[in-house]
Amino acid sequence: MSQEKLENTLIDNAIQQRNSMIEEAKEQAAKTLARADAEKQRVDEQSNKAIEGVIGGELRAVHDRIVGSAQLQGRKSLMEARVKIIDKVFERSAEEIKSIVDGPDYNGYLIKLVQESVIKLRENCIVYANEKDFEYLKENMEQFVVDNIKIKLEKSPVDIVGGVTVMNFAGTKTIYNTLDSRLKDAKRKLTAQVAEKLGVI
Amino acid sequence: MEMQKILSLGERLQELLEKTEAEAKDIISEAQRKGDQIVAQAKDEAEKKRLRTQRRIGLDEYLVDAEAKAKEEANKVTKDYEKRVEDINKISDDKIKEVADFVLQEVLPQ
Repeated sequence: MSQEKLENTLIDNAIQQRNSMIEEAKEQAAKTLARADAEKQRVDEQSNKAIEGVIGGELRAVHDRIVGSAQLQGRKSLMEARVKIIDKVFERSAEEIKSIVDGPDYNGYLIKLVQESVIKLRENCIVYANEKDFEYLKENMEQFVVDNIKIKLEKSPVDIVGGVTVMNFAGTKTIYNTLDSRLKDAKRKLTAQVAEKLGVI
Repeated sequence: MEMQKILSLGERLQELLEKTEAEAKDIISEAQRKGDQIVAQAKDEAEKKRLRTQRRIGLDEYLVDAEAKAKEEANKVTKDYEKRVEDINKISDDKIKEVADFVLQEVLPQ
């Protein structure tokens, strides 16, 4: 090996060794600082926990007051929106009932409502209907005659959209089979199902 | 003569490596010093906080912080409910009619 080559080799080796020593030192330094940071974090967390132990109740009270109030208000708005949309469904049903009353199929429903009520009551009775229905029923009494039961027709003293109210002669039993009352019953029974069908539960 | 030159180079390189070793030690010592300082400072802060907490000094800042965090959470809760209300308000007329027809089946005698 020539002298120049030997010198170059010695220099290269020394530089490599220097680089590697510095690199190792930097790595060790980085590890030391990372350990210190982790320790700092642990100390901070411990300190925060200790503080929370002292004023935890107050912090929770602040949280509950602010977040609880937002939840309460949110639930209220949600409930109001649900009630509103469900009411809309029943309002729509009421509108459709009115158009059915004016439509061609109504008389068939009316006869069924009378039959249903008389059969349920199973005694002599008075059938109350609005003026228009009264006229139709008077003309078609044979359609809802039930064996051995006397049926009297009367005009209802109260305004009925459609359907009938049936009362026994003694006035002790009444069946409200008006479309209004059936809609009210439906509202009571079906609200949960309506909400489910609307997807608001 | 040549041998002398090589020996001299060797000595200089040895010197360089000794300096490098010292430099490396300095890097490590500096990091250790900084690390110790970070931990000592954190412990000092923690101790001060502990004492202040015990004397109930400066707790307002924690409560203010808690209030800010709670307000942020409350905003999220409010937005979530607003979205749900908005979804309800968006229910189509067709859907309302469909459900109203379901109600009518119960109202009208079958």
